[in-house]
Amino acid sequence: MEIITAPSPVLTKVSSPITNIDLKTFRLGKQLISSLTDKGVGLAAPQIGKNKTVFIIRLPQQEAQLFINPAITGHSKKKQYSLLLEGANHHQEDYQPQPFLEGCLSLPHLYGTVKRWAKIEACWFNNKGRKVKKTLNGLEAIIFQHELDHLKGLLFPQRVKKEGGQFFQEKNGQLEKISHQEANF
Amino acid sequence: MDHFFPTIFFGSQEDSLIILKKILTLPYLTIKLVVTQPPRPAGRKKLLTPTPVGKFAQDKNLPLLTPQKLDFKNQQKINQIQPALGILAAYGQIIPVQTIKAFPRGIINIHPSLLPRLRGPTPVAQAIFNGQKTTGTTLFLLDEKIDHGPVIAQKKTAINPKDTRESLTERLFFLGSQLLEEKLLDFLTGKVNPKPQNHQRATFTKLLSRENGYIEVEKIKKALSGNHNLTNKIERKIRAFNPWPGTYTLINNQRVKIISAHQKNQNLKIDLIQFPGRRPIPWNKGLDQSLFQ
Repeated sequence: MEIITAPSPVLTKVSSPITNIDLKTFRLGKQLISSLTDKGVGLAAPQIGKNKTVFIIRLPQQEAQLFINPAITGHSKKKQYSLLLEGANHHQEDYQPQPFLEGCLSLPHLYGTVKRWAKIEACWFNNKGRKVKKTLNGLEAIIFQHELDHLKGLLFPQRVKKEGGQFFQEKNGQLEKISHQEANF
Repeated sequence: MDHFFPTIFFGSQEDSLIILKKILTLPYLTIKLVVTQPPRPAGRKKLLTPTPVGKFAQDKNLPLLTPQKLDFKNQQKINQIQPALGILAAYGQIIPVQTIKAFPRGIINIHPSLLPRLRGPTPVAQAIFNGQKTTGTTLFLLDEKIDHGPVIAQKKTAINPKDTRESLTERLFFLGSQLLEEKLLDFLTGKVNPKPQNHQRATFTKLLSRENGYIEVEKIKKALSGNHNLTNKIERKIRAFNPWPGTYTLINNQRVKIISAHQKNQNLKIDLIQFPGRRPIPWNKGLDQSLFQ
């Protein structure tokens, strides 16, 4: 299915929970997985036009996981900007840690810095309809919070603006800093 | 499974199911036991019928307890489960203090009024009968007195001019299910602290009996001929008592149920009435109008 891009009312609506986990729910999960493009790491049901509290996460080199009615039950103390450590050459003289940038398949070419909890306690119903509770860290924790925002009708630029973060725009394969006014969506 | 909040649900009415169904969608709660009133004779044939909650729990294979009373034996069954949390919606029995103490996180009651207003068993009927414009739903923690514990969250709603006890109760419990979804996790993780009620402002409701539904013929006559005050009162009473305990009047010593009515200008207009052992019929076909001249 095609991914819906902003602006669209389906992206800003609060999604309703799944009351009966059945074949329809799993079909929705499959649709999410087949709609997730190569560069995406997560996709929430509103992004394919369904205001239901379901999303998937696909970490690099891993199978996609289904999250039904997800919730955060605990988290580290403060929200923070994460740093991008992978792929950086720490020994280089002019090494500067790069901030982790969030992007969204519903907002092509736009990126930004968002404060997130580094560690969360989360629970959800899995692809077998079973309850799962797990501590999530790092990238998985960030994606979980990003996708959970989708279910609340929140898109990441709202957080960037509220927290005074930095936007970037992708132009010809390059990232350029842009102002809050320029980050229209 | 012990890292989920082991939860016991208490409820007996159709509307309790709105809450139970919501709880089943929350991934951080595990229903360990459903407690409901025992099956009672119901209908014309007086067949022993489980409560709607009892039936639902059986269909869904949820562990079920149907005690006549929460006595020592049943108390032990609850203790064995080691529940963290209780959630109660229209259970219809008072929970003894010892039972409440078995729940480290307490028992949350979903009460269909804006506490401290309208404590007691009939808050919805009373709100309509009072002619209130708004009412609401409260989540609070049970304590040793009725509807007296600290409040976790509240939500308001308007009372529509056509609301009956039935329609409004359903809406208020739906509101309660939304409140649970929005606030329960915050309560369990300590982000919301329950606040004591302002007990000075408390008002109380009473259990209704069939006899409370009686409306004198004289009053109906006056309302029909345009007594605005009585029209208002009677029309509200009919909605407040629908479906239980219902309103009726006595005509030639027959109990005639008044099922529905509306207001037109200053006048009461009765829509549906019912004679004993008969189906409801429209007012104008059912009665010799001259009785009311």
